[in-house]
Amino acid sequence: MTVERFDLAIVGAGPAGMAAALEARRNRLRTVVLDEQPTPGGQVWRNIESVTTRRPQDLFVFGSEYADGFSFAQRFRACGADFRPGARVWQVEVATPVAAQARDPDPPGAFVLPSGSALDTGPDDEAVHVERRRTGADRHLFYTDARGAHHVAARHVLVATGAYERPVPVPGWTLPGVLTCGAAQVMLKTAAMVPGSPVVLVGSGPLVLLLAVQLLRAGVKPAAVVGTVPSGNYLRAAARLWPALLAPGYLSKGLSLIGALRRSGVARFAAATELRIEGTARAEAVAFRSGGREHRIAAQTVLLHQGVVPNANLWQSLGLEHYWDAAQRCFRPAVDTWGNTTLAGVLVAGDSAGIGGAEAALFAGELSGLSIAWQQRRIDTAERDRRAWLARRALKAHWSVRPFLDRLYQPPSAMRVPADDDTIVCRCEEVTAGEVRQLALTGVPGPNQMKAFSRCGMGPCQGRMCGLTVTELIAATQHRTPSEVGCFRVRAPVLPVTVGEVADLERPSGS
Amino acid sequence: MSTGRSAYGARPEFAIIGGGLVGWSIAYGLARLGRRVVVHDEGDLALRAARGNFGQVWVQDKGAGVPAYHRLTRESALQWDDLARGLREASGIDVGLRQPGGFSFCLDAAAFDARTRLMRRIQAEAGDHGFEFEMLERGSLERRLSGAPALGRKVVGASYTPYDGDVNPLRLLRALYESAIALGTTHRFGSPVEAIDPVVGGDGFEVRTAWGTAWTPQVVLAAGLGNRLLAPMVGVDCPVRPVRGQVLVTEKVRPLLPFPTADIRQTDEGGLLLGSSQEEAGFDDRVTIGNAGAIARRAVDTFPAIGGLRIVRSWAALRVMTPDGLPVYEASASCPGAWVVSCHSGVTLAAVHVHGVAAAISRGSLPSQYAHCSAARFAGPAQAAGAAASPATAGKEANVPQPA
Amino acid sequence: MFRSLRDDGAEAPRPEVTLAVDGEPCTVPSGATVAAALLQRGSIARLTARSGSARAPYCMMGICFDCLVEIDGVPNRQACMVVAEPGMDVRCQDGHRRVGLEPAR
Repeated sequence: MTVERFDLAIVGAGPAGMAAALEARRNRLRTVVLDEQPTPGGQVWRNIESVTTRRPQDLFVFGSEYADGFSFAQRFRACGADFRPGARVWQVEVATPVAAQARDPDPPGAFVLPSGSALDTGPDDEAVHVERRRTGADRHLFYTDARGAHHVAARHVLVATGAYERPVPVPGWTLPGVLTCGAAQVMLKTAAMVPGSPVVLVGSGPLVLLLAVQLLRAGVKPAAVVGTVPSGNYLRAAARLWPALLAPGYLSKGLSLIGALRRSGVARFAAATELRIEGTARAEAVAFRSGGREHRIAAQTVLLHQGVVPNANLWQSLGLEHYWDAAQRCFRPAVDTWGNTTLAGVLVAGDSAGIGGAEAALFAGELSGLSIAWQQRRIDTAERDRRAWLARRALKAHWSVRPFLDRLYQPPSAMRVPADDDTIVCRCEEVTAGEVRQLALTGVPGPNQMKAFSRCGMGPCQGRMCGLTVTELIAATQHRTPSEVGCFRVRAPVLPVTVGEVADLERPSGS
Repeated sequence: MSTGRSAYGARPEFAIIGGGLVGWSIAYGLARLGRRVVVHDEGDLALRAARGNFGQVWVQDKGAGVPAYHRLTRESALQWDDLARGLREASGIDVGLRQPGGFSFCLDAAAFDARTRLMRRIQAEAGDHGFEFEMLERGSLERRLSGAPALGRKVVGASYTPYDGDVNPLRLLRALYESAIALGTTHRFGSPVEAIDPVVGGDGFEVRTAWGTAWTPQVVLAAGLGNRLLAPMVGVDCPVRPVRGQVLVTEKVRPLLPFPTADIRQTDEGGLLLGSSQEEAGFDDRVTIGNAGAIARRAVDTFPAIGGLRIVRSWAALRVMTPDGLPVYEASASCPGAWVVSCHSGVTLAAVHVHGVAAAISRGSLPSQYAHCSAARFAGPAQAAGAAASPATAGKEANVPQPA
Repeated sequence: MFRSLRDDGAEAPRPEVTLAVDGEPCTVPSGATVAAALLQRGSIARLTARSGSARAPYCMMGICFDCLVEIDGVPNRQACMVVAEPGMDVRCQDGHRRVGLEPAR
């Protein structure tokens, strides 16, 4: 089997991946873009082409930011990148042996683990650690689509796998009828379907507000919107309000959503605690405390949300240096201001490198595309830096709202570390918080021994649903920091692939 | 809570270096004998061959050329029932032991012939001890396996011995750990042992970690690949090297294989384990598609129905291999009270580790049945010739894993 | 249970596909996933192997692996990652997958 070779392989056709592809194509890089969905757009612009062309009457439901995705997707379609939809990347292999990396005569330079966001190093800081390298086609990607498993090679790989909603391990969260807010949005975008009433939204974050308003526009009045932001968060966030005011549009958009929700007359509750979803065969009600009182609201559909976290499995499987972001409560890869990681030829951009939102992801993707073009000698340093200047400024502006949002919407610990021992932490293997806590008390040193002892994280989702919870549960129980505790060691294949498909793949050439 | 930072409680009599299958087996064995034990373990991301084990209690092709090793393996397999019962009583954990005998498939005539010669050789060397095996040609193999998925066209036959079995290796690790803890063993984790200093005058050892130094009268080195550096500190040569093995795990399926085979087995939870490669890859424990492909091809060639199953996980781990493939059981001559234990079959040999080896360490002397595992062998010319003429692996079929 | 945004029937019908969920016909808009069909019917996807509890789509983006169903005889497929096609036979799963004992090839 001959292996197809590219200058650049991008995993994910959301904002970051599309922007990187546009930049790469502008510089004539042979580019392949692999995405598991049937059309480009990522989650934020999911199904944008079809909604725009086939049911434009629904666009008003989603708002102008969604509609803006169409022209971007059109430009992406026309940019000359080889777009492969329905392609699920399950392994990326870098042929460089571990030992050889240590002796690399042309090292990528000293990476500084950032203490905050990658932007803390500042746009003017010459944090460009990456030398121009003689990068051969030695990064191998394996993916599966409807026709089977495939192998492509590329000189650079950009991981732009986006984000997913933080799992919300509360009692009853595995019941049928409980979904994420994002799931309801996907139903609106891809199936033009709305949840049957009564529907209750529970959680915190911009998406709760946005979805509530979108449902109202679609003619569905939620029975309640239950907020879980602890009152202490407002104070902590207020200290970061000033830079947030400089970020384009975020706060005014938020206020207008709050206004719309208020005018709708939907029942709203604040600072809810002791959340649980009741029901036997499926969700029947949401119970919680708010304002000093117990509440119980009947619900056929319960939509949870506690913000989003990086979709990290692919970059984690590459063993990149990473760190715990205490404000975002998640692990992030160590990247320089271009998205270069500690592994030569591998970059991470957009929300998969840390939650900055869709607009920030566009500029991050553009910067990664520029850096790759420069590393492959398609542009010189002056041109790269000239082109990067605007993108960096925009990126910085978009990131300036994050310290505020991260603190305002930081999930309360009860939503991350279940207090109730019977709450399921690992949905796949049905491991409870009590079991994890008990093992942590006996001295299990971290998530990987926890996985071996409890099967937590061993199911088909490979720890996507329980990884952060397990880290924080161990940390809380053992009075250590999540950073000390660490995370699951993710191994390929990061998505299921059949034995037969792997058997039919040839050994990668060049390794 | 034992965070590893606390000082020793009651003074331990033994410090065990290494919290893998070997270390916890010896710890549990000593604790059963009433000894006070502390286990020093690294952090969560140590190399940990124990977490990469295939889970076989495997006898059939072990020890060609070294009948004493074959006998040791057989003895451990015989004692495994007792071990499983003891662990269930001590920890409440069922390790899922089954010992129906195992098959090793041959995918061409040459492999079948080589396998036949290997089985005959082990039988001849077993002498009065005896060794039962069957070489099953395809027809009789199909009759024996009725109920299992259909065999692939390439399968020409298989060897079968009645001694083989398997367990759930992760539950075994947890059961050993919880049983030892329940018997008062202390667990200090999170910091690798940097040095072991024999105290002048033969008065025990100082175990040094980043968090401080602890004194112990006796020390048992069960640090896997770490023994290479640590054993010389107590005057013992333990030249172990990493040999990478990769294993693929499929989605869970209803009971399919009621017996283990050399490279495919079903866990009691339902997933199939497909193993396992033998690769000289240094300390690189990443998974690679090239070797995964070879494992997958062999599995599909054996049972084509496996081809449709999804791989949900894979792992690579580093075996702890001596030049000749044999274990190391050594009482240091120059530093009395220091013991070195090393092997790549932490599951199969767990029973003798818990019973015989722990008892010998507790008593203070290793009986002659372990003589072939003395580290003294590495001092002689055998060390240089070891890799080429390795008796334990000689005659092994290519592609067949070194079962755990 | 989810319902169409256009239950009032005011809109012109869009292309639709009809598939079978647990033997019952189910019609969803073209481009919708099998998971959308499950949610429209209020069907569960599977019963877990360990406790036998019911699971249905949760994340709708291929992350949680809770919507595993049997599609056209192939078990453990993620309903939210498979676009519904006419005539598909979708079935709820009960516990572990069975492996066919059919002879090779």
